[in-house]
Amino acid sequence: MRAHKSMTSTDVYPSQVAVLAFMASVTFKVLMLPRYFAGECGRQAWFAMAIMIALDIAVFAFVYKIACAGGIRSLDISLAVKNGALVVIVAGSLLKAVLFCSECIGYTATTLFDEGLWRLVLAGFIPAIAYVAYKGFNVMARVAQIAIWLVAAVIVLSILLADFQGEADAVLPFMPSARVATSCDRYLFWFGDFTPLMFCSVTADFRKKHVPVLISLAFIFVFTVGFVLAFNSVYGGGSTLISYAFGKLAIFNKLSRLLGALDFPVVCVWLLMATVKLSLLLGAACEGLAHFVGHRGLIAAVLAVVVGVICKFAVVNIAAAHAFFSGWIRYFAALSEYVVPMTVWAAWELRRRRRAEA
Amino acid sequence: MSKRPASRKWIIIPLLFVLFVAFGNLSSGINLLDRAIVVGLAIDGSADEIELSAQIVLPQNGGVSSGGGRFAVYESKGATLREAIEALSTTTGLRASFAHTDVIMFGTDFLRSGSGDVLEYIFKSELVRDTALLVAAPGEAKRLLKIKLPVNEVVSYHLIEMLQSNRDEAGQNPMTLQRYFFNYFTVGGAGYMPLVNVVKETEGSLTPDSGKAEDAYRLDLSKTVVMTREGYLMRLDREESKGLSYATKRLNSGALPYEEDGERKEAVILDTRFDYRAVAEDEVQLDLTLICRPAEKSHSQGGRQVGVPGEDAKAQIAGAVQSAVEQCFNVCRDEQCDVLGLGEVLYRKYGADFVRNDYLSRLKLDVRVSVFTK
Repeated sequence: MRAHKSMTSTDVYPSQVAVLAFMASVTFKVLMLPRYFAGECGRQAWFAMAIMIALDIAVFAFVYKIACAGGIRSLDISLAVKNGALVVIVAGSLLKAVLFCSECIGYTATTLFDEGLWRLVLAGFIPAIAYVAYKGFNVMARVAQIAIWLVAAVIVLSILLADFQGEADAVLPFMPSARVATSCDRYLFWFGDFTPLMFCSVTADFRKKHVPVLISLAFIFVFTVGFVLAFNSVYGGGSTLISYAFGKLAIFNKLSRLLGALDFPVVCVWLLMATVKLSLLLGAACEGLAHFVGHRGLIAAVLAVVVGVICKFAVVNIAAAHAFFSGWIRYFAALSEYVVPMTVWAAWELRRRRRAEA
Repeated sequence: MSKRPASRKWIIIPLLFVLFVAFGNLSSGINLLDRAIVVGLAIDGSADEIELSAQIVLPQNGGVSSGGGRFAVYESKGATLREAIEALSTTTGLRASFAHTDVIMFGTDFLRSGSGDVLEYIFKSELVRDTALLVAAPGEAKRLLKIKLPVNEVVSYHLIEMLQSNRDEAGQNPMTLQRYFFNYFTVGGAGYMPLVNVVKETEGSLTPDSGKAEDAYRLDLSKTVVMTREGYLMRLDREESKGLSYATKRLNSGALPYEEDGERKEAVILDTRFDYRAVAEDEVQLDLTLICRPAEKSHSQGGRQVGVPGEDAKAQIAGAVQSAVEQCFNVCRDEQCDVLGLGEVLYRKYGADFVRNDYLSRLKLDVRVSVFTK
């Protein structure tokens, strides 16, 4: 695919939006969330995941319309709505960046380092995501396009070589209860990951090519719900004890007794996805703030330091982060991830119709 | 493209490279060179003091499964498992790596003293792969690591081979870490693991490596230890362990003795199926199907197939299997331990309301066995 002449840092193709959407949505839903869901609603975890992913996909429709209209920054809406939305997105993205950065650092420190030194992992990881965030959305899209082949390789190998020990009975009987709704509510912060894509501008010539995006959304639904089903059928109630689901289900841990545990390939591939996801969040915060004050490079550096400092000093451990983000603050995520895209779209649509009538 | 971004790129790339190399060396990143590779782990002691014994590949020699002095057993202690592992690294002088640990042995003394936290810690901490096999040893598990076996003197490897090759044999109940916690969290959940009995095989036999006369032993895995969420519960004997294997696994090997024409014969299991059905709130039906063949080759004689178990023999086999399963069920019901997972069967049909704390005491198990020959 040749680069469009007027490409800016937020210009992306639909195929790139598709890959970004996949990484934005899936990365942290297959790490710690399956355990939380299993603890909250047991065998019905897959159903809770299905409901929330369906909701996310519905909201994505609004996000994608905004991206096709040139992105939130160039949208013709009232200044009050635009500025309000940008402030909420910046705050929401930063909060999410702190949560997911803690999960990411915890996972990396546990699996790749003996003593789990958070500060060293942070020091290595934060500059990388800050740099990608600073470079803009089309660089994130390029990184995602490179990483997706490795992700696909891990998924395909895991499926082809799997010695699946799961039992369908472990996710039966299907008895949806109030606990499903409770867990959907409690883990709101882990959902609605498409808001950063509101800053993207889908390249004008490709705005009617929706097939890659539709394929991606279908795959997101099937993959995440399927993952939770597989996870719960393999571990049953033991799912509540497993911190990091993604590495556990990957085949490399079980390939051969002589090879031993091979976590590295899976962790490294997942880290690529996490880099894209976190740079999307940091990038959204950068874009939002740059709308008011400019200096994207400086903003990216300052935000990276802020996120790093919070992760190091304020987030004592993953359990503390989990307790905080599943508390009242989760409703802020509902505001930034669900209310804002719909409000911005409604404001734009109203103004567009009024202009058309005039 | 202007020159400025390009020059900035060439500053950032080497900077990141230096940063990663520097941090890679500063941190205690996992590498393969300074590892003490643990192939088998024995856990003893009590809830207050954990004693670890680890069979480790000596790094200068590499490791071969036949042993030959290339393995050593190191011991350590600690108030917690984490402390004991750190102490193990101090003892060996190398950081202990559990990536190749495929068998974890627990002394029954330790299991009795409250081992739940340790097992949970192992599972949660991702210390070992969840395909690692769990076994119990009578008394102290560390004794297991030190015995000499005639076939393969590396006990850990020998045990793994036994557990893996006999995985689907009647009477064997191998248990992985993953499966243990799967069972543990089912309705009325109970976990189990094989009990390794050391049987003295020969006295003063010559071993090829040492040339010295040493006692040789063999390992027997025909008994099973049952654990509940509260800890160690009981030991299933040989027949009860067989019953457990018939009722919980698809088997493809194992002998089924019977008598025919005044002779003692054996049939060999080819395949089994089991299917639980809740027929009432206090009754579960287990349909067991066994497909087997005679141990000795059958042949045709005068239009009659000789060597194939007849109807009477099939009834004997079915009776023995039914009796083994019922023995296992009865002993578990007496101890209020749902090792067969019957609470799950009831839950799936009747929902949570029907599965009360005392469901086992009033539960009946109707075992129906069908035997087919090939």
